[in-house]
Amino acid sequence: MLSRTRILPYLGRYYSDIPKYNPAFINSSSSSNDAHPKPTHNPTFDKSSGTSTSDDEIFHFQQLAPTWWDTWGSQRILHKMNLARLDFLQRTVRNQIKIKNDDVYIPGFNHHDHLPGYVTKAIDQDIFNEVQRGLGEKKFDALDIGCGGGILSESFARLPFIQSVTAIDLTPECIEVAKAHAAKDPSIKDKIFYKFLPLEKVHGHYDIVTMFEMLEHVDEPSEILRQAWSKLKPNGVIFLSTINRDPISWFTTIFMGEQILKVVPKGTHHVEKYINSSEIKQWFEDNVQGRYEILDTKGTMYLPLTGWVEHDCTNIGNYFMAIKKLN
Amino acid sequence: MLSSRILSRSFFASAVNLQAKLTDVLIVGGGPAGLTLAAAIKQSPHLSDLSTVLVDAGDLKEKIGGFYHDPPDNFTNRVISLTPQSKHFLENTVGVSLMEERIQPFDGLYVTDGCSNGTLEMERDSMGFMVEILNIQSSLLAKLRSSNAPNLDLIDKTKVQSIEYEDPEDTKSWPVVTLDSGEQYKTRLLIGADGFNSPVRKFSGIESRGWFYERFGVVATLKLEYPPFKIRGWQRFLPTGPVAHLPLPGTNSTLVWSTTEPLSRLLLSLDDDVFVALVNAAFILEDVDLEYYYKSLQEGTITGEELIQDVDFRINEKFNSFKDDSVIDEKYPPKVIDILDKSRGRFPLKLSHADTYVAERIALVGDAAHTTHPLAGQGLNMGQGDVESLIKALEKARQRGLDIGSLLALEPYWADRYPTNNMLLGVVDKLHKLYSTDFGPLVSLRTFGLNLVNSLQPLKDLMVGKVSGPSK
Amino acid sequence: MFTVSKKSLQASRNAFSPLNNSKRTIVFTAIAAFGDLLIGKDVRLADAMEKGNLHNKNGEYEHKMEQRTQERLNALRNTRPIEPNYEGHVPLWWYERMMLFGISGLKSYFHPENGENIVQLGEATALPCFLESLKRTMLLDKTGRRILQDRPNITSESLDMERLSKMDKNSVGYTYYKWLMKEGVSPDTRAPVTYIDDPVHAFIFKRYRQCHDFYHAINDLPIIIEGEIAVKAFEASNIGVPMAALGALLAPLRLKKVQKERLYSIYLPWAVKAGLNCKPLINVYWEEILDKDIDELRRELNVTPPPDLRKIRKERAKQRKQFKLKYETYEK
Repeated sequence: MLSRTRILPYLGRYYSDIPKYNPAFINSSSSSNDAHPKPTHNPTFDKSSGTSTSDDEIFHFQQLAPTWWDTWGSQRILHKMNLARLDFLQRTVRNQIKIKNDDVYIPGFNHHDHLPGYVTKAIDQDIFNEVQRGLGEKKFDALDIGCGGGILSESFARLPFIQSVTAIDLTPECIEVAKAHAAKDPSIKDKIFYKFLPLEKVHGHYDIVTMFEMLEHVDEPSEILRQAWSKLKPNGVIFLSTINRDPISWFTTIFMGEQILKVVPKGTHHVEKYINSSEIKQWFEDNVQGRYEILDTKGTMYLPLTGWVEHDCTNIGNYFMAIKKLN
Repeated sequence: MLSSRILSRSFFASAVNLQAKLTDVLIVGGGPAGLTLAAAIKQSPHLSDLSTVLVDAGDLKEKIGGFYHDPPDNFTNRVISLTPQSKHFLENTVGVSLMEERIQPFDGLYVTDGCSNGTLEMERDSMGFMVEILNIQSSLLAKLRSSNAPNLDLIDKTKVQSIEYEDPEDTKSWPVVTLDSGEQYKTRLLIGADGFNSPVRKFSGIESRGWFYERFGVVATLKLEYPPFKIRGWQRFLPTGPVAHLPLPGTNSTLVWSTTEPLSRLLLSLDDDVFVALVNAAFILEDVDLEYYYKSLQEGTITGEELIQDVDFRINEKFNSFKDDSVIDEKYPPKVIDILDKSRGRFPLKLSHADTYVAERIALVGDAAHTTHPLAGQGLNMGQGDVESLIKALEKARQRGLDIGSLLALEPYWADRYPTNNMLLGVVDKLHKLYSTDFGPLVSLRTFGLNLVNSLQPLKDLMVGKVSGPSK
Repeated sequence: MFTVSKKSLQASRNAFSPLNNSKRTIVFTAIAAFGDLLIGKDVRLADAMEKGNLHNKNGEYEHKMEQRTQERLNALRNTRPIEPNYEGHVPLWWYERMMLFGISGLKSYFHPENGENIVQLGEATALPCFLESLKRTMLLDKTGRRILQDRPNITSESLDMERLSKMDKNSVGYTYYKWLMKEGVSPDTRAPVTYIDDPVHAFIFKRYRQCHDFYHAINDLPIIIEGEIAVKAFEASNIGVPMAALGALLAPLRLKKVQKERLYSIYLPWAVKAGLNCKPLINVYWEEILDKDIDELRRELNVTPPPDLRKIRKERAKQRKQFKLKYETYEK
């Protein structure tokens, strides 16, 4: 009873604290309406570390760097989330593989509901093999923006269809940790290139650009998006994930995650920096209209016993999104 | 002291760096679990590119591998019951073709209480398959040989000399395995398929708990008087432990007799014909008869001939007490008339369960993780289940780009198997305890329970499902 | 069939015996009514016999009677729960078993001197589990197993009384013979087993009955009630026959004070101790050891006989007589 009377106003206060708009995102996205991209607003970033991440954030991740790879440590929930990210990514990439072999039967309906088990199994196996073959020919270059300690980058590098991973972050300690960890695995140490570099200084173009759990940590997400888009090859795909700005996200990520269950390091999230999935979509509509295709959007949530699971409610809590750059 | 330790460590580290070959998976132990794992890795589309090394102390390639192409006429004495799931996994997922002509499917189990008339009759077509362990091992070896898999090294007749971490300070670093041939392997993932006394488990520091049952399993290959009328397994719970004989092709049958240590020694020392008489007595006569025979044999107050005559008399007396002869075929296995020469053997029975099956860069499968009483015939099947689950976890991990040696990749395997195995171990243990007494009230209670179960078909189906998979 | 009617006849006779206790009367009236129902015809037949109506000149009558008896036997046979398992077996329903226990128990209490009652109670209390434990005892022993295989039958013929009488004075055979003569019984007086279902159990029970006299003989105990109780207690502690325990516990209730004292101070303690120390007597193949020296057998079995009961009784009687004489002379 006591605790509830304490929590309720607390909840209320937070609820009222949640801004209706993410000003940084909306402002910059509207400002980007004038066709040519502007340089960053904050000149100090150019000098020190680069694109739109505050010193606070950098400091926070400096603290986390040493325990980054402890799968039972402070980043366990992130390690678990990485599994869901890769499932989403793997599926999206597989769906993009065109089956060229005419012998493979691709049913145009939900065959799982209509055909006997052994038939659907055979069909699935056929398609799987064909996709596997198609995937085997691919050699993608990937760019991981905000790689932190390299949890995603390493997983990426181990996928057979990834040729190289360029991973950047603005926290030098994290880059060090990531480098040291990757060096232990001979199978990936030559495939990952960790760089302490702002996004705008990255050269080249990539087949896959990822921004997982990153946009909510930067001051000017729209600028990051614009930069990322410019690094993408035609037919390349941006994978991003962030958090909808709503009371439920606050409750799960900050209240439960950081304060009650303490599964997320305190100070990781700031609710006002969260970005709604609709805002992301709006940004693409406003900025690159007609040249993009949203491949998939999935909500995701953490269940203590199962880990991260996907769901279809994309405007609540965390979500994944895959956007393809059209020719 | 300290300096010398540092010295040896640094020396060791340099030795490692110079010689150690890199590999993704190193399996210690070429038993059914280890070989199945190696073959399954090579068969999986997600894992086949992993470089794999399997080390075994025995003569895998010639002696065990030769069994496949040049099998003996007789059946070997180490026979297990393979559940339909395990067989399906071996044949369809791993792609092994077992030596079918040496496999006997059986259609049911007839379980009786040696102290009462408690009976449990379970029936299902091809409820399980009696297979020689050598059949499984040699078929797997044949599969590995024929698939000609690259990145696979089978090292037999070689023992593991020592296991160390590459960086002794860091238990997340890769384990370095030194073989007694002097070779060194640095492995991403070290698999302990090395049995009850698993050196890999000891290296990992994983605690294993359990106890010896103070019972031994006596095995032998039996010759029956005529092919069984019903092809099923016969099991009788005697207070000294369960005795079971399960069908092999033709008039062959395999015996597993769990009994106390002194009695197991006695059983091994008997003449063949006396042993045969005792086996028949164990399935047909009463517990008190066996008690008398044991006592007389141990005290030397009975000759083998007398014993054989006495058993014959008692069996005839028992059979004559039935008004309907057909009951005899229904209730008792066919008479054993001989045992295969030198097919008797014994092994200690124990229960053990490792606290976990995985540690950073280490996974345990099969007997290294758990050993069980053979009364439910689950030991080898649990190992096959482990391998199936571990393969799934590794496949998933690879699809997610995880380091297959990392705990994150291995945890799902443990989470999947531990509860299942623990349940099976627990049930088997309780069964053993329940039936290792002839205390009257408990006997009546368990007899009532067994007969009750016998009369509840849905419950029986559920039990059959638990041990041999859901019905088709 | 025969036994059933005889039993009921006795029951009805008991019921007619003068009883003061009104509660008893109710019970026995009930039994009498039931007995009458069963044997009403027999009673009428008996009446007819008395009146001399039975022996009419019609020669076919006996044949007819025979036929009717057979018919009734057949009818009765069809009412049994199972087929008889051995010669003379009368399978009982559970309620019949309970009635047998109740009735024979009561009868044994009031008329322990009637052997029939004791025999029936013995069978009624011989539950399969006790017989099973007796069988266990036998199966665990080499001789016991042999007895079960041979299924010997003790009769005056099989023992050859003639031979026994000529045996060595200290042999088991002669001791047995002497005891039989002294107590005026014969091995043939033992009733056959009727109500025990399992044939092996039935044999074991018969064997136990037949060997009972040997237990008397080796301990030299008479068949008067005290001696009987002592032997029963001895059997109970030795081979665990429930009837024996029951008898040993309940029978003393009907004894006189002095008998009780004698029993509790001398014979029961001896019986329990000796029974526990002695090797299982059911496993003694009596027929084979008739030549043996009785003392040697006692040593082998680890049993020592109690003080001579008849002698004690005689002495006491003598003492009483003397006291009486003294008293009477004093009176005068």
